[in-house]
Amino acid sequence: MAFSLPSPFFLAEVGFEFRLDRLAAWFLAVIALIAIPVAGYSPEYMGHLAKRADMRVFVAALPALLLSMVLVVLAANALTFLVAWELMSLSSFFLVATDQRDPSTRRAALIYLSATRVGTAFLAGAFLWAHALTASWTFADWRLHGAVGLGPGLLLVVGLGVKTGMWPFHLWLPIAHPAAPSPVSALMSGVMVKVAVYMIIRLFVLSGPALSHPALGWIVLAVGAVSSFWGVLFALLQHDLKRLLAYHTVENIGLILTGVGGAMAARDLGLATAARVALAAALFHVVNHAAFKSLLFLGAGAVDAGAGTRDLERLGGLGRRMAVTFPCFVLGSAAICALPPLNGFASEWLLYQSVLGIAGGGPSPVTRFLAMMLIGWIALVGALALACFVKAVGVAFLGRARSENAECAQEAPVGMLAAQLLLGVYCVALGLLAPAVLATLHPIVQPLEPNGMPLASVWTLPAASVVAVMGATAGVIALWLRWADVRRPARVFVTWECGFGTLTSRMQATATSFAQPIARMFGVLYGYDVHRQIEGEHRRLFPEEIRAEPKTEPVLESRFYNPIVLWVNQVAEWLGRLQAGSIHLYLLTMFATLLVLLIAGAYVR
Amino acid sequence: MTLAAGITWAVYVAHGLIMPLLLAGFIRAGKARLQNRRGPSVRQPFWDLAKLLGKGETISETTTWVFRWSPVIGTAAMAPIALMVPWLGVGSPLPGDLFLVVYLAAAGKFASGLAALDPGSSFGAIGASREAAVSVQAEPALVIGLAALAAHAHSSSFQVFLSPRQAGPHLAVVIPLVIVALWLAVTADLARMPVDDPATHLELTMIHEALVLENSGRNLALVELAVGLKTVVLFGLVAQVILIPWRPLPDSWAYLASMGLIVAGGAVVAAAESVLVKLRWRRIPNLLSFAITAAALACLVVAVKG
Amino acid sequence: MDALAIEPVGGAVVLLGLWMVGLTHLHSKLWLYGLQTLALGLLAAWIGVQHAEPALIAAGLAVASVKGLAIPIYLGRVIRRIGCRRDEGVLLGPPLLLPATMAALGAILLLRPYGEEVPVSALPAVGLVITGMVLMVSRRLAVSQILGFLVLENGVFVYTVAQPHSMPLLVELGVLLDVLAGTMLAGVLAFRIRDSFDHIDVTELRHLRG
Repeated sequence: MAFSLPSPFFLAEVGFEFRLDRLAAWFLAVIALIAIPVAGYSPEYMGHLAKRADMRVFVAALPALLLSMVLVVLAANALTFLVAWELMSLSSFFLVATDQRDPSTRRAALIYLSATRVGTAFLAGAFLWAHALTASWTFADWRLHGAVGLGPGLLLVVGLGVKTGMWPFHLWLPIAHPAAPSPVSALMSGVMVKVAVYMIIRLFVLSGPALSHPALGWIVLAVGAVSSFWGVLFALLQHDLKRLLAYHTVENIGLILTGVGGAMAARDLGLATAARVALAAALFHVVNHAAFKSLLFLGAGAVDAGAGTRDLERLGGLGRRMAVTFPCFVLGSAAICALPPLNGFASEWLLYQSVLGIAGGGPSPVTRFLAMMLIGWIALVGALALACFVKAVGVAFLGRARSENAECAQEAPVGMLAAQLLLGVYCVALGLLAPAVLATLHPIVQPLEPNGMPLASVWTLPAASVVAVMGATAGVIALWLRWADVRRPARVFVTWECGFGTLTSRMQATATSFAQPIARMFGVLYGYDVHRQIEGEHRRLFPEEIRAEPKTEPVLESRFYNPIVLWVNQVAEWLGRLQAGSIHLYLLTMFATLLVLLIAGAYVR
Repeated sequence: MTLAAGITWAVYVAHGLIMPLLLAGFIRAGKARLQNRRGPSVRQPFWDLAKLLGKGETISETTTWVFRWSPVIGTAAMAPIALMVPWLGVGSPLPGDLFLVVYLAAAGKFASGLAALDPGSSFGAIGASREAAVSVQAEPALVIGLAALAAHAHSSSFQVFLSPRQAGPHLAVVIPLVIVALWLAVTADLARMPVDDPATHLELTMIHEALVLENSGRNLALVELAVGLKTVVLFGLVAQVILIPWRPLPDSWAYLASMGLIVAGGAVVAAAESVLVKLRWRRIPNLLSFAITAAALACLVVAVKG
Repeated sequence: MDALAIEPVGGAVVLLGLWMVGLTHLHSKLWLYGLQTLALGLLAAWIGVQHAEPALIAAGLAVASVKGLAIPIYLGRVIRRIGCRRDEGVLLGPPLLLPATMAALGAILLLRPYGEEVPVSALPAVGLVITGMVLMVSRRLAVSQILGFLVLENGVFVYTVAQPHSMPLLVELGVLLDVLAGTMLAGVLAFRIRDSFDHIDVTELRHLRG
């Protein structure tokens, strides 16, 4: 289905063109599914922020963001896409900057804006290059295969990669997403990064594809794999709940890109079935991640609103005070850790199957070995994610409150709870109805293997039996426990403390201490070190005060990005001398440029 | 449901209820013999279970519903695993899949980790964080080792890759490497020597025991049952990998061989717990890196030999 | 014919070397090295029997006894007298080092950077050389670095054995003597280092005088 706006609406050479096909429909469904609970959540959440923020900007920018995302997904040519893309970036910038009184929020919004500038610059460069090669702005007309596709392809990967938060361009994500209000974070993490993934799929995998080169699939796959590991590892080190969730977005985008890259690589290797399953896994994970990440962000927002802080080291014991948010958050955590029978497991299982297909049927030993190592890599990422979420849920919701904020935490109002429950229902439904979802995906991924069996036949798990067995076992045991409890009730007493007296809340695990063994294991990657300071006159035997602080060095920032930023600043300062205010200098610059152009024009002629 | 399927279900369920306790009793009796003690009888765990089930339970006042439901969820996650892995040598009632089993086990770990953090005690926290750190290495080792076999057989279904069609000479190299990787991963997962000492009394050296410290009475009975079931199933899985070169086997032979290997595994564990010293916490990653490397080597051989 | 014999023994020997990378206990590493060298020496002798080359038999037996038995016994005494038992490692510890080394070996096996110049029978040699280099670079005690050098030398030995034309016995014995002398010198040096600095941790020996 294609349509374009009539003649007054023109962009230089072409009009605004839109096209709706199945792939776009899938992503539109994702946008719609998440927009509903976010919309239900926002009024009460923003009520808590209204004293500090300008609500008019929020109310204007949120629909603008939704509209622009829809337009990006529907865009059929490069110029329309860029206009909608810029609208999306601007509206999300205003949303991130909602809480303007806070200097860290302002800084985060500016970092986000500069990141999108850089991404758009790469995108514009890529589109210009593609236009120069094909003389057309419409995506459907592009057919750049082989060596010509590499240049624009790489620029596109970088440009779109900045927006998806793929490594190594992910640095803005853990800064911007926590600074935004929670419904906006949910929308950005759940939907906006997926829109960029949509473009990657549209241009590199399906309908054509528009651009292809044998190396591009491997590049996307490698970057996706590194993103997933890097994201989850750094998530373990965080103790700000929303920053932790933002790093998990990096991880899941890494998994999605692994699927997309796997589809591209498998297609180039001739493994059509594996390619189809990989793309299906990526698309399924798009909707799954949107569902459970939004659920988690909305839960974090409820915690923030109820307890007044996002810092895990000051939370605790919220499980008993927030009786509905807690189970929803546990459900979201179970979904993101890919525990059966929820939706996260379904898409990860598909991803495993596609990589196993490459491992078994790949043409060369290198391919097969790397695919097997990729299976282990995804398992490692899964184990790390499990550790991270046990930490997040356990430290925030279980145990004792670590501060007064947490002791007086309030449950969220009904609108916020309803939104979370709706997303919880999505998670369970998507998990249990996986074959139906696969049947829906079948026509979308069909171009990769035109004569393939229906996609739902890939789902060979005895899901119904497993759920039945689990339910039956749990039911029987629960009933028996209830009966036994009536006969001989459990005694409620204090936690066992070795007879030393009461346990205080400081004797529990902190987020940092829970993650310490794993952080130390991978310490070489970020210069993990623990600074210890022991005070006291006879401190070797009788310490009076011990201070221990783990320090990590953000290697990517300090070794790569900071020098670049420093260099850019220096060049900008040097160039600033040209704007010294002297009229003579301006005139001199103009005449010199004119002279140079005249001479150059003479030579070109 | 046909008669054969019904019999398979009955056999697996019966063995799943009895074998964990018998194996635990056998390991304990074996340890006692090796240490020159008389030790409890092999049927002691049955009486222990009966005692725990009748005992009163003490629950910490700091806990939420997570604590009471976690053993239920853990056992509910373990039950399908016991029905999907063909640990008795004959076909399992449900068609098992490698990744489903691994992630169901992860669901059990999630539940028990949360239950350890619920009472807000330091021991539970240390146990949970250490268990998470150990599983960061043990789980990939398990997955990579079995993925080598799965890639060779082009399927992640247990039925298919545990009885491969084409057995080449390179299996003689792959199978021992996979067994080394699996055994180390299983030892770490089940918290056995030399990764963790189930008989230690010092909380700071515990991994698994600290995790379940707060459980008592009925909860503890459920937890012990789930762990026992996991032990038997994982030993059975290793037994199946050992039996691969001799497949296809008639059902009765496969059953007897699997039972024999499970008992042998118990004997190895008993010997290990009597002879070995528990590793220092900082040395455990060294041991598990051998598991990952062995598994990766198995993958290398499978990749090269096709 | 040779390839058939070399492949399993060569593979096993490289596996032993890889095992050494993951260990920190010095005596265990010494045992593994002894086992490795014995296997290589006996392999050389067996190949000599197959090809009826007495030179190769003699070389193999000499290697097995001198490098496989005498050197480990000597180094064992050195280690016991110095009193060091564990070597933690520098830069990467064993947990990350072992998979990394395995990845490097896997890459060599799969990618074959030199194509036809490096025949299949020489792959164990390349593997051992790399393992030896990793051992030397990643350890902090001087004795471990001697061990790494010895493993590297084993790799060179495997390469010469794998050649279709045999190495003259004199050259082989000369190399053996060099290795023996070098090891004894290194042992003595270790004692001198220990006497001067009270330890043999080479990461502490970085300050240049003068």
